[in-house]
Formats: sequence, structure tokens, C-alpha cells
Amino acid sequence: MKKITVAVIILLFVPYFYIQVTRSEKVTNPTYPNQFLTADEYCKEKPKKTLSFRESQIAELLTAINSLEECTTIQLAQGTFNIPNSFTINNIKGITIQGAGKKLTTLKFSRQGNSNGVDVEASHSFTIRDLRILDSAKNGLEIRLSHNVIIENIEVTWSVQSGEEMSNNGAYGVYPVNVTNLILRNTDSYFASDAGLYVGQCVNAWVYGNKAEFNVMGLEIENTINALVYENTLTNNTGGFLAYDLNKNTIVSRNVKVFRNKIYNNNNPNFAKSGIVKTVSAGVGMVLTSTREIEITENYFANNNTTDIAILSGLVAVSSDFSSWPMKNWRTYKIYIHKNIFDGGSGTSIDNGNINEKERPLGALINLFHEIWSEQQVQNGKEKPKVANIIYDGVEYGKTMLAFTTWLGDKQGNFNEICVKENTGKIFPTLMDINLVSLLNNSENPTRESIQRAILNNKTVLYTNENNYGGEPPKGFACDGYKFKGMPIQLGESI
Amino acid sequence: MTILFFTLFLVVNCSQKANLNKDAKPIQILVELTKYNLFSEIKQNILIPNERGIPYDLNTALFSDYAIKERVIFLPDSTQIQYDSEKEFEFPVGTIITKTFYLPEGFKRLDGKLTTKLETRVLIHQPNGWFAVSYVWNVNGTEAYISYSGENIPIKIEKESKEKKDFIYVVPSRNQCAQCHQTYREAVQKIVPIGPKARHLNRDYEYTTIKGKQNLNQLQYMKEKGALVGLPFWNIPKLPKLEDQKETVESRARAYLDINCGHCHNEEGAAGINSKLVLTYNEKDLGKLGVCKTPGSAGKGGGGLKFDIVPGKPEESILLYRTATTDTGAMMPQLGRALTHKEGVEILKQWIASMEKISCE
Repeated sequence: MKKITVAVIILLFVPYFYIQVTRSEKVTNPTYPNQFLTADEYCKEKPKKTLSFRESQIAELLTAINSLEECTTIQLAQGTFNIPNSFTINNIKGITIQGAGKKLTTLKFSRQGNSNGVDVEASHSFTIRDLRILDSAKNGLEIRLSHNVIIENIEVTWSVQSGEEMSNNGAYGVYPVNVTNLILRNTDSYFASDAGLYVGQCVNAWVYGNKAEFNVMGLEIENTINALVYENTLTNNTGGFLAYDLNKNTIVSRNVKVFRNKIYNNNNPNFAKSGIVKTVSAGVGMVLTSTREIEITENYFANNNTTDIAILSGLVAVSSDFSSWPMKNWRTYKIYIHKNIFDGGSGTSIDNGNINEKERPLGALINLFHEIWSEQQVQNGKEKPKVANIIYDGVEYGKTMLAFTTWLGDKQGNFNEICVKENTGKIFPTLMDINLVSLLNNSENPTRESIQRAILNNKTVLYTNENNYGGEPPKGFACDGYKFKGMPIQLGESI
Repeated sequence: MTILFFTLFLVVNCSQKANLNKDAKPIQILVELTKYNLFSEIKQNILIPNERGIPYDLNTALFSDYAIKERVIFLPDSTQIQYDSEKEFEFPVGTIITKTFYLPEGFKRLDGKLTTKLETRVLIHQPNGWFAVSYVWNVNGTEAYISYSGENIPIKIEKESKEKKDFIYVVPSRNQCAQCHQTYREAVQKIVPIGPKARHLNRDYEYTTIKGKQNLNQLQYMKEKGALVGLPFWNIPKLPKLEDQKETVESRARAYLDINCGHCHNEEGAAGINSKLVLTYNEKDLGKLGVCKTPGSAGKGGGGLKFDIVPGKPEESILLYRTATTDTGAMMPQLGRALTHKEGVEILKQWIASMEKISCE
């Protein structure tokens, strides 16, 4: 018998090493300027120019932005500027676009333009502030491949604010991508048909004091290294906050601190036309998927109908057809949720009770699981439970490991370094370790029977106050988790 | 022996290096196109370059809403183009490249102008890099004026079809010109010409010579004219023409993707960097080419589909959806197209359909 055990252990090392070698994530070390050289700083010693425009001077304005000299400030007076195509800035340093206020100066676009509203590329030390972007055909404000960018006091919105036509609104409100050194602050986004505020493939991002309301996803941090995300208000979206990594991107997210944000009442029906956000169930406060090294602290969570926080393997996000999980493991790990305020009212109605297995399969699965779980609780004489405040799918390995062995894959536990500690508020935030692997029916999709079996065998666990998240790892979740390492560069006082 | 080497070195050196005119002064950017003195005959629907101009075509060209395009290179005196087998050729400072867009038959402009000339896009090689801007023609096609901001021209189509509906022809703004023409080679942003690469230029053109009209290979013609230096005797890359039935579907599809998408979707282009989809003709990594690749933040552009290319299943491939659709927010390329290019989309469809069926899931 002993020999067999030893042989099994040795044999298991083979797939283990295989997985370690083939699945290890690349850590990229991007280079970045060693200071945040704002437009003002960059232009300090250089000749500067200010060009002012009124709403009647569209032709002059468009000519000016297409023949800019560096260190020019474009000043836009109070009023509505009807832009026929796109407002573009390209390959020029030290530009400032300055409106009269986010409710006072409006750049109005039309669907005919078939382009982003304000579109900026390769323009370092760029600042845009104090204006509104209305009805862009694509993204409201997109900035690509630029360094040292400040976006402040901007409002992005669309006039269509109800009905099916909303899905034709532009995708993203604010969309900085491949930006190194970014400040996004005091900016509001409404009615975007994807994420209101998006930060993607960025290095060193300060995202604070913003508001996202009535979008499909409120705020999204994607493939971003070093980010401080704080004091944002995310409410009345389908989902409040999403941290997610695209597969195969060379910028792999790490070192993110999400704090003092208000994430409540994100229960709006999903109106996305397509894309990954179309699969998000209504009522989700925060989704963390295929990402890592995130410290989540001092945030306020309440009244998110499905759940406050969902921690999901990227595999789950990619395909709810579990028999078809891709080879590459998209772990979600090193997540530290501590000292947040949970005020309850969440988990009362998954996807607002509007379950759609085809369009939002994850909500449907959680719903099926919750139904069976609730039945058993009631049978045991307990109250019908709410959905947990924190849902963790418990996926630590991918398909190949499942194929090798089920008994190793479906163990409870915390190999992903998920830590939950010292949260406060009107309620104790419950944590559900679904242990999705145990729900699978011989590596195939879960069935009612396989879920029942898993629950009966205590493979899935709901942690409430009494048992304190199952104690320390590797068994439980009560631990000191990932601590934000700080930003590699500091902002000067004038910023 | 030393002398032999020295002679060889001289021969190679003399024949390989072009005069790139690096010390030239910048060209003044002018409001009127005709003031550059590039054309000898300018009439309502005619624009003929002067004797300095070298007209050329591409094997497979970028689709621009069925507009007919005339391209001309103007070199400064006693300067030459430096050949490159992969990248765009290196042009001497002071080079001007023009591309004039004409409305095709059956298309009618609704802005009241009589000329079929829509615009002439100009690339000027200044000492500090290329300058790109478009000039828009006046009512009678006798003068074109610089348009930094671009222009929308409404077009009516006499016989509408599924692919051809009334549309807005967009003259790009200067910044939009840059969006397609810029590269991030060695992480530095630069504006470069797109068409003048060996693989696109390697074809015949009907030149007017002293012997009359003659079909000549464009590269050979340029070399013989003393305009091109470094052209090898063999191994010059060549892409097929889209409409050439003798070529394989795959090579035509790859040629089409190269010229229509490759300027952004390459390792050093904005789209290649952001989305990791690389559509240049010589990309060998099927994953980068889009096979079973999930898109990089396509958002609503994905049309509800999962993978860029699903082999054997064009209808499930985002690549086909985005190149065929005219839906705002999804259509590719992002600039310069309002109509569906029936012929181009058809080749892409055949190509994906011809791939061996595999499941991407």
C-alpha cells in the first residue's frame, strides 16, 4: 500500500511540473519616466501659446488641433461645440485642452462621425480638463500610447438614457490604453454601453474622485501595473468594479490598491451589445478575474443584488462550458480584502431574478447553486440564506489537472492567497467558497445532481461570523494578504 | 587581393547607397496644391504629373469606398530611393508623394462640385520626418486647398445594392492621416508611407516613354530611371493582386490583410501593440494572426463572437464580421471606409472557410 502511495505521489509530480512550466505567468518589467512630467512642467521653459475658441468657430478649432505646435493650450469657451467627425490630437507634446467647466463646455459628436469623440495618440504630457463629451459614436475620450496624461473634471455621457437604443451608445466613456503615468480624477461617466471608466494596459495610474453611474460596468482596471484607485463612486451600473486581465497581453496586472470607494446599488439591467461585459449579471459590486496583487480596503459595499464581491478564475469568465476550459490557467490570486464596510442589502436577488443562462451563464450557475444550497439549509431548519457577500469560485487549477485527478482538484482551501480580514459595517460579510471544481460532473458541466452531491459532502462552504473564514491558510481565509507596495514614482505637490 | 576587395567594396558601396538628400531644407507647406508645381495638366477630371513624377500602382490596394486612386512619387533632382525588401523604401528628404482620389462611375457627389476629384493626399518628406495632409478640390477641379481638419462629402449611389448605399466620404484630418501612417518602430513614433514597399510595387505599370506606351515592371523602371538604388536581381517579394484568380485564395487574402490592416496591425503599430493581432503578410504565428485568438478588448466590436478567426467557420470569425460590417464602433479599418468591400470580404471568407476545421473552445 505504501509503495502505491509513493508511486502516486511521484506520478503526480509529473503533471505538477508540467503545469508549473506551461502555466507560469510572465512578469513584465515595463520602463517608465522617473517623474510625472505634466504639460505644465514640460512646457515650463518653452514658448507657450493659448488659442481660444467659441462654439461658432468649429472650422478654426479643427484646423488648430490638426496643426498644433507643442505647448499649446486650446481654450474652449462655454457652449456646445458640434464636432462633425472626431476631435483628434496626434504626436505632439505639452498640449492642454481646457474647457470652461464640465457642465459648461460640451463637445457634441454624432453617430455619423463613426469614431471616438476625443481621440489622442502618441501625445506625451497631455492634459484635458473641464469639459463634457456628449454622444460620441465610439469611446468618449480615448488616449493611446502616451506618457504623463492628466484627465480631470470631464463628464462623458450620451443623450439616449433609456430603452433598447442605449446599446448603441459608445462603448467606453474614458479609455486610456497603453498610457504610462496617468491621473484620472473628478471625472464622471454615464450611460456607456461597456465600461464608463476604463484603465487598460497602463503603468502607474492614479484613479480617484471619479463617478460612474448608469453604465454597464462602472470602472474597469485591465492589464495595469501599479494603480491607486480610490474615492470613486460606482453606483447604478450593472456591475460596479471590474479588475480583469486579457490573455496574452504583455502587461500583466499587479500591485493595485482599491480603497475608500463607494460601491453600492449596482443593479441596472445589462444593456451591452456584446463583449465580455455582456455576460455580467446585474447586481454585482466587484468582479476580480484573472488578476492578482490587489489590496481592497476601506471601501463601502451595500445593496448589490447579486453579490458584493466575486472572485473568479479567468477560466470561468472565458467560458462557462467547463469541459472546454482553455489550457492556459488564468488564476485570480493574492487578493486582500480587509477593513471594508459592508452595510448589507446585497445578495437578495441574483441578476435581479432575471436569470438568462444563455447570455449571462455565470449568474445562472450561481443561481442554480444557491437554489440547491438554500433548499438544503431550509431542510436543516435554517433560514433561507442570502447570497454571500463574497463569492469565491475556489478554482485553483485548470482543466488538465481536472483530467488527471478529481480528488486533488476539489479540496477546499486557499491556495490562491485570498485573505479576508477585519471588515466592519452593519453586517458581517459572508464568504462562500463554492469550490466549483467539486460541482463538476466528472470534469463536465455541473448538473443539479452533482451540485447536490457536493453540497451534501460539505465540499462547498459558507463562512459566517462564527467560524471566521475557516481559519488560517491553506485551509481558511483569515490571513494577512497582499499589501500594496506603493507607487514607484511620486507626484509633485503642484499636481 | 586587397585591390580586388577594395574594388568590390567600391562597386557594392556605389551601387547600394542612395543620395537621401539629408541636408535639404524643409519644404514650405502651401495652401494651394498647384503651387508645388507637381502637375502639368489640371482639368476638371484630369490631373497629369509633370515629367519629374513617377506614377505607380500597388498589387493589392487599400480599399477606400471604391474610390479610384492615382499615386505619384516626386523626387528632388539627383536623389534616389533606397530599396528595402520588407519595410517601406527610404526616400530622400524633399520627396513628395501624392495620392489623388476620384469618384468611380455610378457615384454622385451631393456637395454640388462638378469634379470627380475628391481629394489629393500628400506626404512630404521634411528633414524631421514625413508630413501628411490632404488637399480638397474646388468646384471645377482646378485647385485643391489644404484641409487640416478634413471634410465630409455626401455621396449618392445611382444603383444601390446591399454593399453600396449612399454614404459619407470622409476626407481625413491631418491627425487621422497620422493614425494610419504612424509606426512605433524601436518605441519611437514616426510617420511613414504605407504603399511603397517592394511587395506592393513589384508589378507592371503602363508608362509613357519615348517609345510610346509600355508595360514595365515598376521597380525596374524606377531603377533604370536612376530613381531607385539597391534593387536586387532576384528575391524581390511580391504580393498577388486581389482579383488574380491564378493565385491561391490564401495568398490573396494575406495580401489583402497586409495592405488594409497591416499598417496598424503589426508588431510596431498601435493596433498590434494594443490588441496583439498581427496581420502582416509574413506573420507565421497563427495565434497572432487571429486563429482561435480571443480579442484584446474589442468590446462591442466583437459582434458577440468569441474568436478572431475560427478555422473553417467564417461566420463565427470576428475578423470577417469587423471587415464586413458597417456598424459604427465595430467596422475595420477604423478610418477611410464607409462601405463594405464585397470583393475583399469574399476572399477573406473563402480563406477562413478553406482552413481545416478545428474547435477553438
